[in-house]
Parts: sequence; C-alpha cells; structure tokens
Amino acid sequence: MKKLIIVFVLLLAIFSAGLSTSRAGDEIKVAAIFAKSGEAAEDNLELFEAVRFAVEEVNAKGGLHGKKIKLIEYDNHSTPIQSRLAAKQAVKDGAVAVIGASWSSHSLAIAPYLQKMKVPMVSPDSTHPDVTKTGDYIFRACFVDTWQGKALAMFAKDELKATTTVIVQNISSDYSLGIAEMFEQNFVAGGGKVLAVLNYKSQQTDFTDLLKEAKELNPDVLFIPGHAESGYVVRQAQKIGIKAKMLGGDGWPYRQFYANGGQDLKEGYYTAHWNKNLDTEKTKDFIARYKNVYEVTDFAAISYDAAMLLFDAIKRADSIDRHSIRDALAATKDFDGVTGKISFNENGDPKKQAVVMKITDGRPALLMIITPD
Amino acid sequence: MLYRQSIRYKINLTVALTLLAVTLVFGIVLTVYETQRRNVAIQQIKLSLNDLTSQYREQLGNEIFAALIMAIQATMADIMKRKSVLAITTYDEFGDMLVSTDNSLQKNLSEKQVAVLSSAPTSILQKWNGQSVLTFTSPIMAYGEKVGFWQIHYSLATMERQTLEIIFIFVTLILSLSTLIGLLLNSIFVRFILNPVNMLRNTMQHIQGSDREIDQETGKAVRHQRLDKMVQAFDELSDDLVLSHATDNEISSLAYSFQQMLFALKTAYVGIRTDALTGLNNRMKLDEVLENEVNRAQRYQSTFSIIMLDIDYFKKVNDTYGHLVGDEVLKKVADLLKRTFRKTDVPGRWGGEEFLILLPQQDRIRACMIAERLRAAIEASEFPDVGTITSSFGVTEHASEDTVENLIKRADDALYRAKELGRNRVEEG
Repeated sequence: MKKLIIVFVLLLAIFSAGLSTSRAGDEIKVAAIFAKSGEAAEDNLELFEAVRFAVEEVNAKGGLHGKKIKLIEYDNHSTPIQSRLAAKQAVKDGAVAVIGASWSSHSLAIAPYLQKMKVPMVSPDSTHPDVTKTGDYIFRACFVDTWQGKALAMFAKDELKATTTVIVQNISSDYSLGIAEMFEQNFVAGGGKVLAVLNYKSQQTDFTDLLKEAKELNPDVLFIPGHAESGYVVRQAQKIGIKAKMLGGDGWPYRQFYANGGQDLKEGYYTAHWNKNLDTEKTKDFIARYKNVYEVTDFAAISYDAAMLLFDAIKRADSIDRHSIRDALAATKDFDGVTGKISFNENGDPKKQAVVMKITDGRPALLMIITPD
Repeated sequence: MLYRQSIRYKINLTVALTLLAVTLVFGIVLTVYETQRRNVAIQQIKLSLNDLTSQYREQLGNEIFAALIMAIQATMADIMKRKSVLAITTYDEFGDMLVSTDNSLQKNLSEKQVAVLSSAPTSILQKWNGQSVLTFTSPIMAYGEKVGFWQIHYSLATMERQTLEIIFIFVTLILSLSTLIGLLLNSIFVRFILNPVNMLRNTMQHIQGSDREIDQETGKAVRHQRLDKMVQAFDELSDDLVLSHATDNEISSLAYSFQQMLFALKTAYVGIRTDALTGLNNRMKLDEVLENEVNRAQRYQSTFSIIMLDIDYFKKVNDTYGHLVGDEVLKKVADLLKRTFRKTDVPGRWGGEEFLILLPQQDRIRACMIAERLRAAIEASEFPDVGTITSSFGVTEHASEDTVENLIKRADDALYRAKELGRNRVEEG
C-alpha cells in the first residue's frame, strides 16, 4: 500500500513536471519580489503595479522572442528572511530573472542567494551601496546612497543653509543606516555638525521621547531617512514644536508617508528618483499611458524602468537563459528610461540625477534637480 | 546493672538518636521535595525561555539574518529588562558571535555546540560571575529557517533564595520538633525514672530524719533516738516503695536492693536492742530510752514514770520446775506486758526476772494504777506447770534534777519495800 502511494506520487510529479516544461516553452517566467504583507506592503504595492503595467505593455506588443512574459509575484512579508525564502521559491519556480526587492534590507537578503544561484536581479529602488556589490548578477535602476547621501548633505548645506543637524535613523533598516552614514560623512566634510544620531526600530509609531531630545538640541535640519514611518516622525516633531527643517530621502514619497502624517507637514524636503512634473517627453508619454491604469506615484517610473531594463536585456540576449540575460543587462548602454538615461558601471549601478522635492502644507512640489558630476 | 553515668548517658543517647532519625527522615524528605521543586522550577524556566525564543524569533531572527547589530542590541536591551536575565549573546547561523551584553561572553560557539543545538536547545546549570545561572542556548528559527542562535544567562537567585527559605523553615521545624521531642522525652524521663528516684530519695531523707534540734544535741541518747525514728520511718515508708526484685528497670532494682539493705540494717538495729527470750526491749534499749526520757523531761518540763517489776519467788520456780518452765513464765509475763501497754509506753526486761516499764507523760498516780492493774492481771493469769504466780512493783515518777541513777534507785527501793511488805503489791517511791 505504502509503495503504491509512493509510485503514485512519483508518477504525479513526473506528469506535472512535464506539464510545466511544456508551458515554459512559450512563456518567460519573471519573478517580482516585494511585500504584500507587513509594514512595507502599502508602499510596495505601488511597485507591483508599475511592474505589472510594464509586463502588460510588453506582452501587448507580442512579448519577447515571440514569448509572453509570465510575471510571478512573491510576497516577502516585509522581512529579510522571508525575502530570501521568496527568492528561493522564485528560483525553484524557474524564474529567469528577479525584479525586486524595494527596501534595501530585503534586497540585501535576496542578492547573495540569487548571486549564488546565478539568477539576474534588478532592484527598482534599493539604494544601499552593498546591494549590487554582492556580485555581477545584481543590478538596480536607481541611484546609490553614496550619491543620494551626498546630494542631501549638499542640499542641506547649500540650499537650506544648515550648519547643524540631528539624524533620526531606523536601526532595523539597512537603507536608513546606510543613507544616514553617507549624509553624516558628507555633511561633516562640508563643515556641518551632527548634534546627535537618534535611533528607533521598525514598528515604532511613537517618537515623542526621541524628538524631545532632538528639540533640546535645536538643530537647523532634522534628517529623517526612513520609509513611510517618517510620516509619524514629521507630524510628531511638528507637534512638539521642533522648528528645524525636515529632510528625508527617497523612502518618503509613498502614499502611506502622507497618510501617517506627511500630509500635515508644513515644510519639508526630500530626494526622489522621479516626479510626474518633470518636463520630459518620456515622462509625459509615460504618465499618459500609466494614469489610465494606475495612480501615478513617485515610484511608478522607477519600478517601470527596472522592469523595462530587464525586458530590454532579455530582448537583446542571445537566448532566454539566466547567464545570457545577465550579460545583456551588464551591457546596457544609455537605456532611455522614464527616470533618465541608464548605463551600469562595473557594480551594476547607474549614474543618475536626484530630484529634490519640497513639501509645503503636505503637498510636494518639484524644487530642483541635482545632477552627479 | 547501673553504671555511674548510665541514666544520663542512655537518655542523651536516646534523645540524640531520635533526633538524628527525625532529622534524617526530614532531611531525606526535604532533599526529595527540594530536588523535585528545583527540577520543576528549572523546567518552568526552560519553558519560559523557550517561549521567549518563540516570541522573539521572527524579530530577532530577521535582525540577526540581516546582521543589523544596532537593532539586535536594542532588542536585547529590551529583553534584558526582564527579571533574572543576566546576559544575552547572539550568534549567526554558523555560531559566530554577533552581539553580547557581557564582555566575558564574546566568543563563538564551537562546532560541536552548533551541531548539538541543531536538534534542540540546551540548558546548563553553572556558576557564572559568582552566582548560579541556567545557561540556555537555543537556535533561532524564523519561518522554518535556522538563522542563528542565542544564549541567555538566566539567574537562579530567586530559586536559590527559595531553597534557603525552605531550608530555614525546615531547620526551624526540626528545632521546634526537637524541642517538643525533648520535652516529651523529659516528661517520660521524669515520670518513669526521676519520680521513682525522687521517691527513693525522699524515703531515704525521711528515714535519715531531719530534726535539726536533736542534731544539735550530743550524746548517745540523741543518736539512739534518731536511729529509732529512722526505723519507725522506714516501717512507715517502705510500704510506699512498691518494689519488686523481678524487674528490668535498674532504678527499681536499685530501690529494691536499697530497701533490702535497709531492712537488714533495721533488723540488726532492732535485734541488738531486743531481749532474745521475751521479745521485749532489752537493758541496752531501756538505758537509751531512760536517758532520752530524762533529757526530754528536763527540757520540756514534762514528766514520766517508771514501773519496776519483779516476779515473786522466781528462783523457786526455776529450782522446782527447771529453767525451761522459768523461761516460759518470763515469756508469758512479757506477753502480758505487751498487751497491757500503749504504743508509747516502753516495756522491757531489766535483767533476770526484773522488768521495767517506762510510761511517758504519766504521773505516779496513773503509774500506780497501771501497775496495780498489771499486778492483778499477772495474779489472775494461769501459768502452765506453775499455776499462779505473783509479782512486786516499785513505781516512781521523774522529779526535777533527777538522773537516771536516782530514778532507778528510787524505783528499786520501792520495789524492795514491796518485797519487804509481803510481796504481790505495788509501792511507790
């Protein structure tokens, strides 16, 4: 009886394996790993939307190499470990490449595994320097925090005329720690003074004690390199009467940031990858197509670009295998993305401009563009 | 037999052995109880630490997985607020130390430890920084992935304190119990050993007498009087000592031996003062009593009388019927004397066919009446072989400044007069 069951199970396995290979013949499996649950879920939904949009556009035009792209979405549950598990599942499911993740902590958990399994990965907006340093299969569509941190420091010093700052960082976020470090380095190098670095952890929503400490120090700028939770920070900072100018990074402009308190922010600044008000043909064209399907957010374009970077590489690749796709990705030259022209350096990082946004009474507006030298 | 320190030694030994047994029993019970209690307590600590691991496995697991040192530190600082948590050390999946709250613990887990921990958490009881701790090491499994390990040094101070408390209670209990048992044994000791001994001692004291006034006096008479009293007391009190030779109790057998000895002494004492033929007091006893009575009469201004009695023609009886018949006559007279006098009166054989009766507190008139009655009784009595005999009496009362010799002389003279005046009569002098 037991043997019979084993035989039956084996037969079933062989049958289903045959079925899936026959399907794989006319599909290109691409994985998207973002959060569908947990604290990053709200933010990451915007990225899922843009990737789906990109896949639909490519498939509508007949796909690649005569094959449709099959997008498989994986939930990383907003944790590093489950990001790794999602990547494992994606590889097991036969994805030729991975789009994701968004938060640097998640990408840092995925990258070593994908590198080991030699699966190309393109992250839309993981800005931590270490993400692409993992290996030659790892790429990103966005700028790196070594640049973003520097841009923010320069902006604070030159435009906001700040000489002192207090940094409020999330110690459970690689992104927050990384950008804070770059900002601090560049701010101090430019003659500024960091009065204090205050720590909080993910899931925290009450920052009053922390901010009271910041208020005592009375800095010119309060640097808050977080994700959507930064909304709580700015609202509570304003409430206890901190006069400092609020400054954030590309982790800010999610819908959830505004919902958490960003909508009450009287004056604040942040850097972004892209904004819908950019006066370029590509942008206008993208918005025209995108707004019919999804709400245009600051992350729509970068996510779309990440997907399109991958599809462009697949198109140029000799064959649809992971190694060829990687080679094609690495060879990307002046890819004309919505967020700007993209060429990868030896790390797999593009050199890109940063958009500085100003929030006035909860409404963001394009303030300036900082271009790397 | 009873040895010198036997009783105390045996009692002490019994008490000590009893207490030792009680202590041993309680000690074993306590050890079993305490061991079980500790095992349960340690089991509960292990369970709670397992729960803690479960509670933190995802948060800490992710932090360890992502090597977010500051976040790990913050999480650990949170956990350190818990009571009894002394130190926490976290390791990555290879057992390499990531963060420790204690400087002395900053080393990696050995390969062996990592191998052991892959199956289950370990708990080791050890001394650490001078206190008892449970060192709990557990893998941290998050979402089915083994991401690292952590080690918690958990203080057993609370448990140790409870152990001390329990031992304290136990010692208190033992002490109270010992006191109780001691009291119980003491009462048994008093009831079954001391009481008989005390009884014996009291008896001895009574027998010995404690009349200080008499003690102050010197002289033969006083000593004799005291000895008399001892004999009297012995007779009265030896009945209280219900003692038997057939007993294992050494106290009782001691008392019995003592009683037997006293009895022998009494017999010896009384025998030396008793006339062998008649069973009456002999001359020696009479001398003592007389001297004593003279002293007493002088001291208390009291009086007493004596009756001197002589059987008439006794020599003739002896010559006619033989000495054996003579002896029978003497015995019969002695019996009459014994029957006639009160307990306080002292009749005795003065020598040969002469008798002397001392009548304390009696004046000469009473004494003459008593003598007269006695004379009549003897005359009325039928003596075997001899038939009827008579006797002559000399009575005298003690006068102040009298000595024993004076007194006897007067009585003797009165008796002589009675003989002169025809015998079978009473004369006073």
